[in-house]
Amino acid sequence: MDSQLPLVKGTVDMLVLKGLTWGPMHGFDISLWLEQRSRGALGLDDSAMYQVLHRLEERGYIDGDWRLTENKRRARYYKLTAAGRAQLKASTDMWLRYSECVTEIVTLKARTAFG
Amino acid sequence: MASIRTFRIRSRDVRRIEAEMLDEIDAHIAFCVDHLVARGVAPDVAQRQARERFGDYEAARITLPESARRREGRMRQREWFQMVRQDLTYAVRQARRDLGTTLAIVGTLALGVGANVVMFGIVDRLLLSPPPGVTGANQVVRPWFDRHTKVFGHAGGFQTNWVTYQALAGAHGFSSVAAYQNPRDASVGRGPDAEPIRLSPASATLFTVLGVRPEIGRFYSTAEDAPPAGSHVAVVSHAYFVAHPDVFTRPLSIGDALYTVVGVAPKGFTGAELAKTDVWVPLTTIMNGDYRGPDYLRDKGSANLWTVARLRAGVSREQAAAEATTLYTAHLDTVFTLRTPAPKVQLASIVPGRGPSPSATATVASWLLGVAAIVLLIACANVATLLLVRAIRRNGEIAVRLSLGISRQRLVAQLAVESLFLVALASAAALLISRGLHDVIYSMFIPEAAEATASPWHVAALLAVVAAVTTLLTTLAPVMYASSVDIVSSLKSASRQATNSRSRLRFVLTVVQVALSVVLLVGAALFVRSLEQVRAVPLGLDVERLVYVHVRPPATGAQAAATERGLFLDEAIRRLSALPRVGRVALAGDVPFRGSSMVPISIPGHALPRSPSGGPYVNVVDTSFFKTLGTRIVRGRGFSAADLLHPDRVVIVNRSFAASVWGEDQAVGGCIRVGADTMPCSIIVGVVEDIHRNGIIEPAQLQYYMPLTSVADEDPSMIVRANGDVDRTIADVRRTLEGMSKELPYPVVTSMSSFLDPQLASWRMGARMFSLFGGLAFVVAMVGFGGLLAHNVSQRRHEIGIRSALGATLSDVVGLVVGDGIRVAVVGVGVGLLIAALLAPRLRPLLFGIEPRDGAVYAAIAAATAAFALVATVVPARRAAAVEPMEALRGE
Repeated sequence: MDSQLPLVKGTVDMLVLKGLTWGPMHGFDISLWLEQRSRGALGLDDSAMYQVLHRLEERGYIDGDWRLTENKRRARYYKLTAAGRAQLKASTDMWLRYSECVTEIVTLKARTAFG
Repeated sequence: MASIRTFRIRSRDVRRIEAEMLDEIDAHIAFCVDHLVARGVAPDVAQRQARERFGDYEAARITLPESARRREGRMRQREWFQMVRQDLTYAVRQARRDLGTTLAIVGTLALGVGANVVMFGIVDRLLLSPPPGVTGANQVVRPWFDRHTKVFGHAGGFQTNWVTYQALAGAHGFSSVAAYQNPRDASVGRGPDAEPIRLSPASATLFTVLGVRPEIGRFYSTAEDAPPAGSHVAVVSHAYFVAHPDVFTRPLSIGDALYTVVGVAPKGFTGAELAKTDVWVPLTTIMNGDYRGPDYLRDKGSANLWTVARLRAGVSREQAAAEATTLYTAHLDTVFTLRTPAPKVQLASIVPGRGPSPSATATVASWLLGVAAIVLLIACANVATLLLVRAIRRNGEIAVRLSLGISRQRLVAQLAVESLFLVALASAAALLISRGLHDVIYSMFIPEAAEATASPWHVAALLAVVAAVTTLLTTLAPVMYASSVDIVSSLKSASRQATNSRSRLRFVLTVVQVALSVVLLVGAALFVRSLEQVRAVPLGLDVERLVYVHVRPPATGAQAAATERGLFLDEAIRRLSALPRVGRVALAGDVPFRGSSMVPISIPGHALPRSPSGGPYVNVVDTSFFKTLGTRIVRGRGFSAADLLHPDRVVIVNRSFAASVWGEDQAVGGCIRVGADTMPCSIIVGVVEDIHRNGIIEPAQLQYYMPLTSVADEDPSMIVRANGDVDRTIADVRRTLEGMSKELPYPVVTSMSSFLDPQLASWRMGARMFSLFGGLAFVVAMVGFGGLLAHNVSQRRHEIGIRSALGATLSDVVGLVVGDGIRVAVVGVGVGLLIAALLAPRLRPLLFGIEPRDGAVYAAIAAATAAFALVATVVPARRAAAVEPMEALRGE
């Protein structure tokens, strides 16, 4: 496991929404997916993740529903809504622009611009 | 669809949501354990690891369910707002689509709501709120003196005298006590700069008692209001300051003194009562002037001061009243007031309309609030029918929506939002209108306090209540209809079926409108008749042709003041009599409706007559008095020039006086000793008709007259009999007087009929407003009535078509329509007259000269309503007659 990165507020929302892009998942699956995709760098504990899920559901970005898994287990599945999809796109765009800008400056070899 | 599913957070749902969250956590842990076991971890280790992975597992089992509950709550809120927004958009769209009906609904409701806002504002000012500017009003009281007098019998009033005022000021139960007099006419400035003002003498403590703070400067202090003569300082009202911003730079010339202005009162402040005041001056200064010296300090017999006090913290009203009674009794005058039955002091509220003697204006205003409520009911009934008709027309649409799964409660909610939207529009319109009409209405009801407004909080509260009630009433009808819509049959056929319940509902609503408006019209007619009767009371003088003139001639000091005054008045009378618009001029010590005087008299050989209104009252008058007033001399003669040589020897009595002592026929030649009973006889030379002394409605007054010779001690007034238009005469008189001297204070020149205005106020107000509200209500009801008939015709086109085809004649068809109308009108008028007959006796104390169940009035209203109803059937009848059978049979 790489050393844990501190989470920037609001990005977890975006990550969870992204995870649901390919179809509904229940809470544990989302948590597992996040851990695996980030190779453990994002140390998000599950209790905090459920708070995120509540927030997203309250805002109407995801919809929660009790269903049966293949093993006939009861689980609460979350799926992305149209509003959620739009929100994902918007926050992804903003994140990419922001990180692009920051990366560019931070990797400069020379000062350039005025001088 | 989220918009149809309704989230309800009830307590069992809370438990369900929390339980579900715990289930979710358990499921999560289970999945995690499976995952770990599949990786080869031992099951019990896996359990532990899963819980560790979860985070603070124990805490989470508490915080997550809470978080879930909050989530549900916020989601429900969000949905609710969305729902309301949807409904509102829909309501606006509906309103715009059907603009005509919308305007009719909003207009009708605005009328009902507006009437209530206006009347409530008046009632609030009179009965619920203290005078403007008063703080801590429930600690402020007005002492009411309940006593029995030798002359008047049982008398109760707020008036008292200086000695009593000082006695009360010493009471421990009051933290401070003030005294004042009602505003009097005065003049500021002289000659061409002279202006009329309303001057209020008030003790310096008045401002402390009422808890007001000056807007600019300060109020005068108790040091400046010290007996015996006070000082010449003044406080002006906000309105006066606005009109005269230079008021601090130059002193005000009032009467014979210059007053320095020290401060400005807050906006709208009128003192302890609702009486327009421009300037306040120290009470001692005025008392000293009125009594020409400090005699007022020992006066315990007069009733020329009003008192007001603030209760000390911790003292109850009863304790303070008991203490006040003790102090009052201890300083009682013994000349006029009896010691048994024991006099009492009651402490009344500072709110103007509340007090031991109910104010007529306040009572009428309360009745009119009831009237306004009835107008609102009529408006609601009318609007309910309009909304019902609209719901019927939308029958098909409603059925479709119901079949698509909308719940009936959702439908009702949406109808309610629609109504609320219309009611909100109507309320906004009503507020705007009432603001615009504020001045007009206040000048009619409380002309004394036109600047004051009702407390905005009270009005807002009323508006909320009225809006809620109106929404409820207007939604009921369409809701009752919508919840009974039968989906299948509505989808199948056009809205041709006139189901019985629908017509019955409309019938009832229309009957309600007609009945209630009949009730209001009966009330209006009773008030109008009362007003007519009051104005027809013979007063003993031709009041509508008379002008009252009072002017203080300037004292130049060239001669004795009395002589100067006499010369000035003689000259004034000469000049005024020469005016073409003036018939005659008279001079009198007292003027009817403006005051009276009494001196002790004795009648040799007879007992002094008693009257509940006191007296006998004396007036000194000149030789042209009776002719100027138009009063008939019924026996003997009037005063002649010869009488002026021996003014103490002749006297003229009025009819009631004559009848109560000598008999009308024997009065001439009788003797009255005026003053002490050692005085020589004044012989009665004539008997005149009774002239009303104070009021339009009063018991017979005992009055006698003596010749006016010198103006030495008198401050006589002139009475001018106008030739033609009274207002023009007033202008001419004023111009003439002002031309006589540059030093003249503002002359008071008013028509005598204006003295009667305050007495007529409550009848006038009742007559006008009842008629206004009644008329408007009647129009609304008639429109509703016409609408019902028109609707019936369009609903029954099919039936009419069949009847025509089967051979019904024109008159049969018209009879069908007219029959509907007759049924509604008869039931409506009947019910209305019944309700009126039941409620009218309560109006008795407010009426004059007419019985609450006067047959002629009721019959007239019934006939008028019937006539209007008949006229209203014309158009629908013609439309019924014009129905082509074939078209009707083919259906819409």
